[in-house]
Amino acid sequence: MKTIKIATDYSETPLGRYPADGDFNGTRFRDDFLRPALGAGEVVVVDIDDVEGYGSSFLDEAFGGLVREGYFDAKDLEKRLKIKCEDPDYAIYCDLIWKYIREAKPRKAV
Amino acid sequence: MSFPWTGDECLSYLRHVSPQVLAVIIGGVIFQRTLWLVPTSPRFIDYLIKGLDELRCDALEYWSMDVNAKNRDKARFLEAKVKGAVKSLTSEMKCFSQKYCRKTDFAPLMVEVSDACTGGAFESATRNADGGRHLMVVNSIHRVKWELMKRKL
Repeated sequence: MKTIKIATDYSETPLGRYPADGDFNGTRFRDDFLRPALGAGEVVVVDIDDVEGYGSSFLDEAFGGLVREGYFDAKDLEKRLKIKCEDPDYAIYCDLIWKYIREAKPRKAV
Repeated sequence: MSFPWTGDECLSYLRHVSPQVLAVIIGGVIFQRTLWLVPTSPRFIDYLIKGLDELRCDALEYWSMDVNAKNRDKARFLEAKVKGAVKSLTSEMKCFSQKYCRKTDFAPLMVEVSDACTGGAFESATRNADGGRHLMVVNSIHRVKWELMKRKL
């Protein structure tokens, strides 16, 4: 099992969707942290506590993007991705993450 | 009895009045714990609605502006305000729900608010004004306000 704590391993102020939006954007978190960890086939725990706040755009790109870009499917993520939030103030972000994962539709290959 | 009282007279007086004093204290505690909650609930609702109105104004202002190099600072300021407001209002709503209406779960409503206010091209380096988001913001916030207002009717 691998644990990624966003506040310490990535940034306390993650922001934006694409690389042009800032250094700590959702695309970079997905490609540099989530994909390699999930690609190794193990259970990945993402600790979302202690960040100043999340924009839905960041969460959608980082987590929903895993399905949208065709890297994983939602059922696989439900089995292997655990979102950890001990602070009840962050529960809303946990709900948002799963909403984006479940609602994401894989892009059709061109 | 005439003043000044002796020690025994003082003790006798205290023994005489202590049941009444105790009753007033217990009554005060019961009043504070129960009846006092009634007038504080509408005030809490007003406070939450004021916060939701401010969030709506900031979110509408943010989604009405084109974001480019010229006004990026203002956009960043509004982004922080909107993100912070969503987080704090969610906590306050949870507190309200736990204290006054345990059956109502505001979390799904606040998920919609967060999605409407901070989804899409939120925090993009450049983007055009997004009129389509206005309705999402207004409707999602209105649903929370209405759920609160029902407690006041």
